[in-house]
Amino acid sequence: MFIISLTNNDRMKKYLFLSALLLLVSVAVHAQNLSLDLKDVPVREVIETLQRELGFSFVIKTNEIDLDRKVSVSVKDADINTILSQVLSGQKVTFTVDGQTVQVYKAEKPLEKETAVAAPPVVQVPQHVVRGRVTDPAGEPLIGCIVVPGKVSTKAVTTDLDGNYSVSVPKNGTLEFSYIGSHTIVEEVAGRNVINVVLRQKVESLDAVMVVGYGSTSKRLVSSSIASVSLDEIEKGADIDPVKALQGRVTGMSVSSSSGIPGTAPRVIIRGVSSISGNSSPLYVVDGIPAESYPNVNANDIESMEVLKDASATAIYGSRANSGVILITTKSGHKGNTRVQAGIYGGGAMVSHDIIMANTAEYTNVMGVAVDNYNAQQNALETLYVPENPADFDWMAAVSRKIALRSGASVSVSGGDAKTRFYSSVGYENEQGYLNTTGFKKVTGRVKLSHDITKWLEMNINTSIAYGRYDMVEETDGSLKILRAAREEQPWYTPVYEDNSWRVMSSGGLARHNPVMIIAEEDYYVNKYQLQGTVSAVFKPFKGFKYTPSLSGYSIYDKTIKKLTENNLERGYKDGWAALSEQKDNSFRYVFDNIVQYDNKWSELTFSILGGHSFEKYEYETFGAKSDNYTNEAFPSSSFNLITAGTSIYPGSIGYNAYALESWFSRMALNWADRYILNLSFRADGSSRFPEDNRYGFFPAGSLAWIVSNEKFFPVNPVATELKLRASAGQTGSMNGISNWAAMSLVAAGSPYNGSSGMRITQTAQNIRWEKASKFDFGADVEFFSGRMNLGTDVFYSVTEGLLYPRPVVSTTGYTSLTSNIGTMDNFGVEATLGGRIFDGPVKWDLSGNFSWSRNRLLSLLDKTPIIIVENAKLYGGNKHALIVGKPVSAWYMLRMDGIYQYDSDVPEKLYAKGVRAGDVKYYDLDNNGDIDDNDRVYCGKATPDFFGGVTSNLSWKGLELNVFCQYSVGGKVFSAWKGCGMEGTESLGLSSGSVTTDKGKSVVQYYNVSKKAATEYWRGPGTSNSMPRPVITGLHTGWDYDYNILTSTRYLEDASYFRIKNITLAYNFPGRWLEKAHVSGLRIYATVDNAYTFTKHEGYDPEASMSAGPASATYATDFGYEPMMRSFLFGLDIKF
Amino acid sequence: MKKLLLVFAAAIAASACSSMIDDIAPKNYIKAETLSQEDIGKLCNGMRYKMESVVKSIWYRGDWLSENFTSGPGFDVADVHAETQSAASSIALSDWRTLFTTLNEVNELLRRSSGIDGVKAKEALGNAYFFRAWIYYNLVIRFGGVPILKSPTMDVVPFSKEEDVWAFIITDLQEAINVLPEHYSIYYPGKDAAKLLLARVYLWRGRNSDAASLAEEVIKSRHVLNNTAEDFAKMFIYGTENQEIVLALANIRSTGYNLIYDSVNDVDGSWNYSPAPKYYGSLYQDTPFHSGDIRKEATFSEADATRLIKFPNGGTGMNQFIVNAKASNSPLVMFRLADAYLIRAEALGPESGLKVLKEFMEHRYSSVTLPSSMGEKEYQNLILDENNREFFGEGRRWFDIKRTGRTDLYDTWNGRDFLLYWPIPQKERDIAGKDVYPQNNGYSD
Repeated sequence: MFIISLTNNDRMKKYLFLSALLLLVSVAVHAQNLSLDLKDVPVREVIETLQRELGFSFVIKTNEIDLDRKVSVSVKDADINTILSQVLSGQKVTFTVDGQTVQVYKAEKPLEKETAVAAPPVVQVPQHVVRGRVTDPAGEPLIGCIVVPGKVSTKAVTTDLDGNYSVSVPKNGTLEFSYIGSHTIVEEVAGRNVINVVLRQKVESLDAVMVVGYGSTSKRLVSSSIASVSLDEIEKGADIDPVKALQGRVTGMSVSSSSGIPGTAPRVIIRGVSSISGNSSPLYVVDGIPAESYPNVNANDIESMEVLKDASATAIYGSRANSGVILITTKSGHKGNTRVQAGIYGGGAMVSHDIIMANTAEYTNVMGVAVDNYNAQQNALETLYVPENPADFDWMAAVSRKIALRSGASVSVSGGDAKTRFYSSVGYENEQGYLNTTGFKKVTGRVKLSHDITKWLEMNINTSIAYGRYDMVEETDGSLKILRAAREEQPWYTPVYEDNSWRVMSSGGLARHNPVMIIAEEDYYVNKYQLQGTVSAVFKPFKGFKYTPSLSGYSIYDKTIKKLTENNLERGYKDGWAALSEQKDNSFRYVFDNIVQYDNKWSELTFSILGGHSFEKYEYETFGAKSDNYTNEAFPSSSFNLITAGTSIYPGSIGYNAYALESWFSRMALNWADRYILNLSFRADGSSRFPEDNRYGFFPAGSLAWIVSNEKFFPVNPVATELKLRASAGQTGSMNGISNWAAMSLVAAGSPYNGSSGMRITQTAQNIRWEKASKFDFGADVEFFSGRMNLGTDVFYSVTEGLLYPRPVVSTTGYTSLTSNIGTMDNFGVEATLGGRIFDGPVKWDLSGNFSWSRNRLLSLLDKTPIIIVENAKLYGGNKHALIVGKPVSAWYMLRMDGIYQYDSDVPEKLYAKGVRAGDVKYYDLDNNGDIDDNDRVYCGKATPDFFGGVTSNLSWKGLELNVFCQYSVGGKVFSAWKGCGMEGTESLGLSSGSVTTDKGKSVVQYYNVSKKAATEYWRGPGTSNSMPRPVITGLHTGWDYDYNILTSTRYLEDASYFRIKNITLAYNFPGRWLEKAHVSGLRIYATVDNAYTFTKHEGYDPEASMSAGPASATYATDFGYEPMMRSFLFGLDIKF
Repeated sequence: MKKLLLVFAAAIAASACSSMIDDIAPKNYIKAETLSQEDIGKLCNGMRYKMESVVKSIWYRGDWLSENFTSGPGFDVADVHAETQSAASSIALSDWRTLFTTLNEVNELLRRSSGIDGVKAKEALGNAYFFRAWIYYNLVIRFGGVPILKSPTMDVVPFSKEEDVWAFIITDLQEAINVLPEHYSIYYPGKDAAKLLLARVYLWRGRNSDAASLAEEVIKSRHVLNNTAEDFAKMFIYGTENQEIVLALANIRSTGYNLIYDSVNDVDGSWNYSPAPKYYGSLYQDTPFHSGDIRKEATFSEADATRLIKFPNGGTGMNQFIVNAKASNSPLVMFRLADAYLIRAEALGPESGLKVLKEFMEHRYSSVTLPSSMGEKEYQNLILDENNREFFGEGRRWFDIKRTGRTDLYDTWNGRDFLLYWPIPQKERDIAGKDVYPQNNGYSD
């Protein structure tokens, strides 16, 4: 007999009493003969007493438990189960007892006292003992799974540490297996003695914890539009960029890869184009700290990502939330056994859709035709120079990799004891690019520590480091552009002469810079170091109150080095192209947050009030220097690695930038009986970017949710088990895309004359104000068949006013554009996601899909002209985008190609006079004046898609899993600048040329190579082609900037719609029983194909290609022909201890 | 608990940092409010620095459009004359924008230096008048009538008639001549530079006697004509003090170079312009009037027909006619004594001009035998030829042709529907409104 009796106000007595009794404990503990008499004691104390005095160990796996709740318990001769069910009654938890170990879990419904205290029922029906094991699909045991014998009630049991259970039940009875976060399964006993069950995690549980701005809540209580993705859901292939992994999985979120240049960040747009300056990129918040740019986080460290979409969710981030917010939460350690996870992968990647160039025979033929066409029309006698013994060289093969290797590894260790939790990890990735020598390596590390100093004070430290090395080539450079040069080089030359010396442009006969030489004779890389750390404390002086001060520092240091060798015959000797240059950029940002939160309940009302203040300062400095080049031995040798080896040192880029942001914010969340949920938030932001009078922006928001299924009138039915309706409205802001100094009149130095210093007034202050969006959202979340199927839909509308943009002004003002608030834009959209379990037997099949449609429209712009042409160099396709009132941002505005003139008689008179003939492009003549110029440009669709989404399929059988993930995008258009337009391109057909000196010293004109398609499908007579014009050399067409056939037009505009089998992963999870002996708790091997196949009409490498991220920028959705995204094959292994 | 609240209050107070927002300021700029009268000299230097890049950016226009040049290696163009013949023309837009944005800066300097005393202020004022006149001169010879801005403004200013623009230029130059010092360095504008520009303006306006007398004033100043190829070439090298130069912009800087040679003589094999073959073969050939032009070997390369060796070639000036110690800092020669002689000779006409022309030619040729009289047209041909020999590669030719109306000198122009006034750039018209910025005759509205 063991008796504990204590009340709150006689602790001394309690301890004396317990001490005395300790002597008596010994064997008594296991017996069901504990007696307890408690009045008004916190749960915490009871548990501590049981731990300390009786040797029970408690593992508490939920935050739901209220340890400060006062309880009174009085039992006699009870077992530990009975005691705990009394102590914890009324709380949404459940527990299991295994020997001396007690585990407490979160439960769907409050624990009922009665079931536990009630005496064991008298069993009327013959009982039958069933044993079995409950595991997850990976074969891991589920500990504490509740097994309830149905119909005739006997006592429920829970599974033990190995997932085993044993229960009495009638032979014809049922067993209901339920586990937190998993689907409940009911099995007919049907006379069986052993029933093993696999429980599968719910795809989306309404009880899942969801991170929101400056806090967290359960999904059930979310009243705004937030998508939560746990990285476990993303079937790990490897090689995942965490944000890229969200592509096709979150409604309303468009993620696309601009190019395959290693280490390039994707473009992300949430709920349509939010801005016409800047890149419409969302705000990333990593562990509560807003990141300056695209976050560099090891995917394996991520616990969950939340995409905040509507104003109610984002307005707490105020001034930077116009484009949505992505919250990234990293993993933390938990009390218990130390867990080790490790993974490695490796594989290769290759071009998935190549662009084939003409070979020497095709090239020679088509250029001959171009010259012939010229001669015929001009009555001239031009000839095509063809070298003696022409080679047939594949320049692309010479600069690219057939197979680019990929590999990676990661290890994490986590754990904790009663007071301290930790998580630490190291990750490594290595990726070769398509072009020779390009690549990207990344090493990341993270340490998270959390320590309870006292009951009311917790300290947290979270630090991460990342090192990235980007090996680059002159690819995006407008002058060298290696990849394009390689394609368009004459195939009849090789990169070297017989003596192995480099052939160079112009004097070596090449029409383009020698890309093989440039790659070989240059070392060009960036090292990026990032260090981030947060120190925070949580004060909990009394129940429900929490004060969290935190200080975060974020530091980025980039070092760019470019080194040419003496053998770089084109660049090594050019003034300004230093032999060695070095550039160092560093930025430092700190954020100081103070947040106070109070949570409590009053009757049926649960409420949470939050208030905070945040100050943030960012500073950036860049500093660089360069040496001489190799002329006159100014730089002695490329063996030197420091610029001081040169005779002179010159400044590189030197600059400074900074901003500061001070914010006050508050939020109130009210929940009445889990039926009505109201969230109100308010933020005030003051930014140094705006003039003092307009410095502060105010961003209010509110949302309301109604959980209809919790109403009494909602019929209990097996179909729709949960129904929630949401509505929200609010305002957010943007200060994106404008200079930190736009609001100041500035004088610059650095303008000396004849050796004497000088200053210039370079900027006039602009009276700008915040760009503000008012957003509205209506949504419904429905759960069918107890979570077997989920449907979520949202309809949203937003209006953005005061759009910040470099407004074009007449140059008599001294400027060609001035940053101003110039217009209004709106977005309307619908999103839906549907998912469910199709097969639920030994073979399981989950299928889910989502759909996002949105419409963007500019409502107003400048007064005088409802259109702003977005200017762009010819090389990048010329002017092809425009901001047009009534049309979407990213609108294409150019000449429309209506085919090819098939007969000379079809050509209008004015064009005929300017040299246009049959075989030339036929453009739409808008003003019908018989001539073609800029006045004939028309709206030609837009770059952003109408709708997009993804489909995920998970098929599993025993330990085998097959995951297929597909994406689609419909309605966007991409401009293929690599094909031509301007002076070069793979379809220029004789119009791109240069004067070069042949090996014999003769000056001749040489033409760029064209694609095999252009070289074989060109127009050669009526009816032969209606899309590819005749080859001609320059001079036939007069009166246009470059030439008639290559004007910026829909000739180069392609449908970017696609359906892509993005990822196929086949994995095998070794069964637990095989692993136990090796003390391994999980082992998974997998093979994955990424970017498997794309169905598209687009002819380039990838329909997602874009030179820039901002939808209103001149080169948006412009495919310049950068390195392609490749198809990769990877094999990997993950292991857990 | 009290302690805790204190900590909390202290933390909030410490982080309430509104004043820190106001303190955010750039490091490489100062706020314009902080400028004082003391800074006027530095602002004047800043304007001259800006002028260097302006002069460079429009440098080759007159050569390119007049077929003095052809495409260089790695560059090809279908129709050079199309480049100014449409309202969408990038050349017209680029020059318009360059000149007008600079005008704003010059006007700002003029505003700040007006009405204050001191040598620096006076120098700034004189420079501002001079460069404003030079900017408007370049605008009017391209576009005709343009908006006249006497001070900085954000408003859209309507067009003035061409003759009003010319009158405005003349007023500015007269102010400049009043305010500027006598010539004190070839790198700073003095009275003589302003007189030369005004003489040229008078030539455009047909006020030949005014042009001739102003030119004569400059001829009588202390400048000296070069006699040899080497001396001629020395005008175009770093640090030159050649006394023929009336005004050159120093172009001395360590970053953001103005490399006039990156368009004609780059070393990477892809420069834009080369001498047109017809001139390479014939420009400096001997004629019955003169022989042994000293400028030939200082201008064209014996070895390479695609290069112009008057200016530096590449980083070290390796192919320039004479050694240039710092090619990237080569001066931008705007006016020289040759201008004065050629303006005066043209203004005086064959009757009295031949003597002036002969005096000039004797410095440039080994032998000169001019007749005692000549017909107007023949004389004009001679003057135009002499101008092109002298200023080949210095952006003058097309404007000489336009001024004299001698499009007949070009086979490819004659008989062609070619407009000598450049179009008003469509982009500027789109912003200002078509009514406020009317288009020049001949272009579609």
